[in-house]
Amino acid sequence: MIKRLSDPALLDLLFPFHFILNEQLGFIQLGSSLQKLNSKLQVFEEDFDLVRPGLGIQYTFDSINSYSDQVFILRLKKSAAAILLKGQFVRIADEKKLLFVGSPWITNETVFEKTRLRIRDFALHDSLVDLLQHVKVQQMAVEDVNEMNQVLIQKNEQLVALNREMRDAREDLEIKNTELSKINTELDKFVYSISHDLRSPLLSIKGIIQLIPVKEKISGGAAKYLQMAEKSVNRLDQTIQEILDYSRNARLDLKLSSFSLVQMIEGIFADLRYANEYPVSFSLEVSGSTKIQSDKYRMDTLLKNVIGNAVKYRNPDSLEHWVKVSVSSRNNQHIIRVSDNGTGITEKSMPKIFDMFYRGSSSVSGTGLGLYICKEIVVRLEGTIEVESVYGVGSSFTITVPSAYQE
Amino acid sequence: MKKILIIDDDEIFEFITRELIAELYPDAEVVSHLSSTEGLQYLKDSMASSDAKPDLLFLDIRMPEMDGFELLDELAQSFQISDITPMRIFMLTSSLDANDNRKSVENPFVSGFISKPLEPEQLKEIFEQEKTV
Repeated sequence: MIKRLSDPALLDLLFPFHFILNEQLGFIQLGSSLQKLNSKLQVFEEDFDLVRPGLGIQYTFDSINSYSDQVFILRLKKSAAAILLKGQFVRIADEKKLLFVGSPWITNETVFEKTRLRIRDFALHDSLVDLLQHVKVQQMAVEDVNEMNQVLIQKNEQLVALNREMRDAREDLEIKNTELSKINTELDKFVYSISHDLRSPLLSIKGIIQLIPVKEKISGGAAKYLQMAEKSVNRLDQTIQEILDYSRNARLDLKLSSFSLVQMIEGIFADLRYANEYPVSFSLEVSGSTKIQSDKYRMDTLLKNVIGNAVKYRNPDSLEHWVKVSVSSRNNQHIIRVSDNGTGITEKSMPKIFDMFYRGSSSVSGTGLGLYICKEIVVRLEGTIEVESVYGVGSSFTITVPSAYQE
Repeated sequence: MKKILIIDDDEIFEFITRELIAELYPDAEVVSHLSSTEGLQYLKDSMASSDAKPDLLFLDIRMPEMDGFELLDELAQSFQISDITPMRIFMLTSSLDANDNRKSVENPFVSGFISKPLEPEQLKEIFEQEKTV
């Protein structure tokens, strides 16, 4: 029970959505903002649905009055939007009148817009609460943004640091790379000088050994000794050359140029013919282009080794020795096949022939480096080398290498 | 009668080459220089008359003072290929450097590249060619 406010203007200021009902639940007084929602309110029962308190309540003065300690939610029937009012009924002291004090139940912006009301239509305390709420939300958003900013700043700093580290690491690598390539070049020069200085005296021994039978009359025994000495000298020279080939292949970058495989192979044939003491028939079969863009020095070393082996490992039981080389090209690849009717390779040796220092036979001199170097060269040329062999019948090596390299 | 010039700083190789020529072709006149500078000077002086000009030059590559190619560059400063012919120049070396081989092939003054030591068969081949030149 409250005393009726003597000043209706003050009541309206505090509760612009209020209304007062008489005993028959007819409207006696309407708040100014409520009038804006619907100015033609007449009978409570026809104009409002009772959403809450719900069951048990009736549209009578006493029934409503008995729920005065509860919150009511009323739906305004005759309005464009289904507007809800939230508030309480209180009995005005000494009078059979009920005063409803409340305001629209605004749960979100859309609802507010539907009411077509303005902020100033609401009671000051409602607006203040809303404003405070709004400010609080804004503040929280600002705090969130600040926090997010902090996180972003931190992340950015981490990224900058990471970037700096990567740049330093790359600079380090570049410096190391330059140093390495300088060392490589120097090492290469060094290896050449050493090999030259090692070979020079060795080759002068060879020259003198060869000079003796030309200059002097020598007996059969001495001639044999000289031959043996020359053979040893040749072996040592071969070893020096192979070590050089190995170190060169391992350290130097590919040096590409265009050249003819036919010319190269015929050159190798000529050298072998000249150096060989027994007759070997060489043949070369060509299909397609034999021009190739590759590393000339490596290719020469590779083919010299494989063709040289075909000559070196001849079958002593054969009456004729032959070496057949075929060159073909397709799909940006050159295929070089070197076949012979030599001793062939035993099954036991087969898996090891490309291993370092492996020698399949003690009857022929060698370092065990030749085919190992070949394999290493083929790897550098991004190609393959395969072998088929029947012991006592012959061998066939197939080399596949790119015809050209993309820049 | 042939005149042969050897320029090689290694006395043993110089000896081997000279002795081999003397044995196989006793009529040939062999002149040798262990210093590349002196060898070049001799070569320049001999260019004046066709009698004095050698028919063959065996030229080492790796030598102190100046190497074989530098010597040929010096020669090219004052002489054309037409001045050099019919003299043939063979590079004689124990170098395994592929660049030396390539430079020999590319140099217009050079007729051939021989790995040391010069062998009797190679010398015979060169003299056979000499007859037809």
